[in-house]
Amino acid sequence: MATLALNPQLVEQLPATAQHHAPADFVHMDDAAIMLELRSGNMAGFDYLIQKYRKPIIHFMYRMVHNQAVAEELAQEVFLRVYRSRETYRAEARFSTWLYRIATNLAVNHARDTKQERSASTIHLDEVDPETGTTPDVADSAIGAESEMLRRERLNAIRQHVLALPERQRMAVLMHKYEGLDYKQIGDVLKLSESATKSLLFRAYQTLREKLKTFV
Amino acid sequence: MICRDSKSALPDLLLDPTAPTNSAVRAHVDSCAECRRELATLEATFALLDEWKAPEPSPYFDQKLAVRLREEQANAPAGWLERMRARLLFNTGRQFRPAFAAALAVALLVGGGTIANLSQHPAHRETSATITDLQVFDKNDQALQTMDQLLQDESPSDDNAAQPTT
Ligand SMILES: [Zn+2]
Repeated sequence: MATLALNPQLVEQLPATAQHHAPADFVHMDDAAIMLELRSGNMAGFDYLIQKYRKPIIHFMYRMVHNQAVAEELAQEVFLRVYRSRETYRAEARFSTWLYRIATNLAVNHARDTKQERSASTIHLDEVDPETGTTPDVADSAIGAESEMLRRERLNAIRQHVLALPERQRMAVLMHKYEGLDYKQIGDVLKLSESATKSLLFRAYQTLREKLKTFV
Repeated sequence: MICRDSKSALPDLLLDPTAPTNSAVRAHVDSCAECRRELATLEATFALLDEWKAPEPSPYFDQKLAVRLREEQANAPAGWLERMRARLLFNTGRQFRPAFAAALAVALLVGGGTIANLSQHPAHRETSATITDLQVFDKNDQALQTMDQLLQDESPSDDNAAQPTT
């Protein structure tokens, strides 16, 4: 949490164009206010935002692409885009909404770019990740081989059926179920009304319940 | 509350059972056997979905991001160029983009040349003019490449990366 992702020297070299807050202040600051400080060159504030949101964004990307290396690459891209757009950032929407909007766009673009590979790879979701050399969903060593097999089968089913959801339903489920965003915020990200978001999620969960009923 | 409304509110109830906004659904579910069954199966699905864990960020994530950000800072063009690019990406109509890119290229050429001439020491004008020109062209080339990349990167849906207007 306290890791300073940036070279402290860089922060010092930046012109002191505005009254910058000390790192300890950020906890009490609104994300939007920190973004406005970034515009005037306060990298320490940006570092705080990265630390705050890196995990949810990496996890979101991981569930979108099911590859840790790619997920982290895309998550980095999200933060780079935030940095690049610091001048145009307006505190009209919540910072996290904006962040997830960038993330969903990048994830969708990635999915489109790798469509062919993906349709082949979804069949082999349980295989060792060629990039990291691991199966990331770490197994509990205490459970036996047979229940381990069942667990894997269940996990594959979950992944496959979440991945098989229509794009917007999938993103809505990931944001709602795993990242804890509310209807309003998901609606803002996906440009849907709150009630449309609600029914989108309802349809998604209905589908999942139907597809996964053998496992519950 | 009727069953149809109740059912669509069930995912919300599942995520935040004690929220005051969910009290109406809660009350309906308590009095309706069908919705109770619905809730139970959804609960089971939710619990199942919990099994899908995402791995912790790798130790290299912060390092790599720091490097990429530093590169970004080092390559950061002048403020107006950054603003121009942002405007190009987020605010301008797609149909004007090629025109904007061309205008920007011209501006860079003129601007770059002007800056180079101003900063150039008079005594070295003869020897460094060619080098300066080459440097300016090099910079323009880089800027155009970045521009192309940015324009290509952005698929139509990427316009959404700008902030919502609401
Ligand atoms: Zn009912």
